[in-house]
Amino acid sequence: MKKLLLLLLAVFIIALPVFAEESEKAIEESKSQLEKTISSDADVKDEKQEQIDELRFISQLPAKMQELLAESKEEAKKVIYELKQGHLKAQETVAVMDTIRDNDKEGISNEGMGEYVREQVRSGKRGRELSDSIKKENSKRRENKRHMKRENKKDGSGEGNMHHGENKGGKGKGKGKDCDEETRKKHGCKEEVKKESKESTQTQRRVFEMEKTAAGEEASETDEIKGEKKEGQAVETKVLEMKKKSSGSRGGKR
Amino acid sequence: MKKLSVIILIAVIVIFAACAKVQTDKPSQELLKAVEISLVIETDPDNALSALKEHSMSVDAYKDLMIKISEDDKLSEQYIALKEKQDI
Repeated sequence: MKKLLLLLLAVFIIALPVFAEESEKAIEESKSQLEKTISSDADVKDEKQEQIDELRFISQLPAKMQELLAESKEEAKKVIYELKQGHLKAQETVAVMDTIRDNDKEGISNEGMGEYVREQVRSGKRGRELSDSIKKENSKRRENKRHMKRENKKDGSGEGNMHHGENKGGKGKGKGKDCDEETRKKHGCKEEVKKESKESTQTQRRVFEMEKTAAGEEASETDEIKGEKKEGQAVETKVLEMKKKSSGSRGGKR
Repeated sequence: MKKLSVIILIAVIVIFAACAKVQTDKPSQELLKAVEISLVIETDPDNALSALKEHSMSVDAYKDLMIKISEDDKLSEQYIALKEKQDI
């Protein structure tokens, strides 16, 4: 009986690790299954979030489009065409449109921007790579604009219309002023120039008035001095007369 | 009799033209849909997909509609104006 008990105990001791291994395996399996379900849930969530983001950005398109100048709208339409074709995401499209709008504000030309984006997209650039190449292109355009401005200043002639990196020659000193978006939309730079000329005439007037008043004060001062001098002279003549009289009277007495 | 028929014809044409004008001035159902959905997307993005379902629209259909609106100056102006009104 004792032997049998010992035998059973030995078997139990030997079998225990085997059971333990099996149970560990079962636990690992269940863990992996749980992880799989969680990851699939996360994927679904990511997909959903992506869709929502896409919807969010695409809802901004009409407003973004309205912010652009008429010429830039044509360029933006080319970018939107790529979105339509499924080559671009809404977020990327909005980013490009923001760049175009910023260029409009800074007076940088957007000519050929749509075509450039199309080329980049067709060459397989997406996401960060695409945005980097657009930034590069934009910095080139900015540099180009600066160069044009410098040249314009050097020339000193030719009306500086730097909205589109162009130097349209004409009358006046070449300043290459950038206007704000609204005035440019409505009347171009002329409005800005008019404002500046108005302001300059006003300041000129003010200076002239100040000079006038200063001159008036000076004139009044000189008048006062003259008056004082006259009074002094009159006093002197009176004193002389008195002296003469007194000397005359003394002579008479002697 | 001829005169009467001519008058009736002219009246029909005038009424038809007036109706057509009214229809063009009114925002289309599609535009209204777009505005409503976009407002949900902006204010409550988690319910964006259900809003699309409510209007029986797929994501792609909404995308196409928004592209159509943004490509058309008049439509996008109307869209923005309607959105501002709804926002208020």
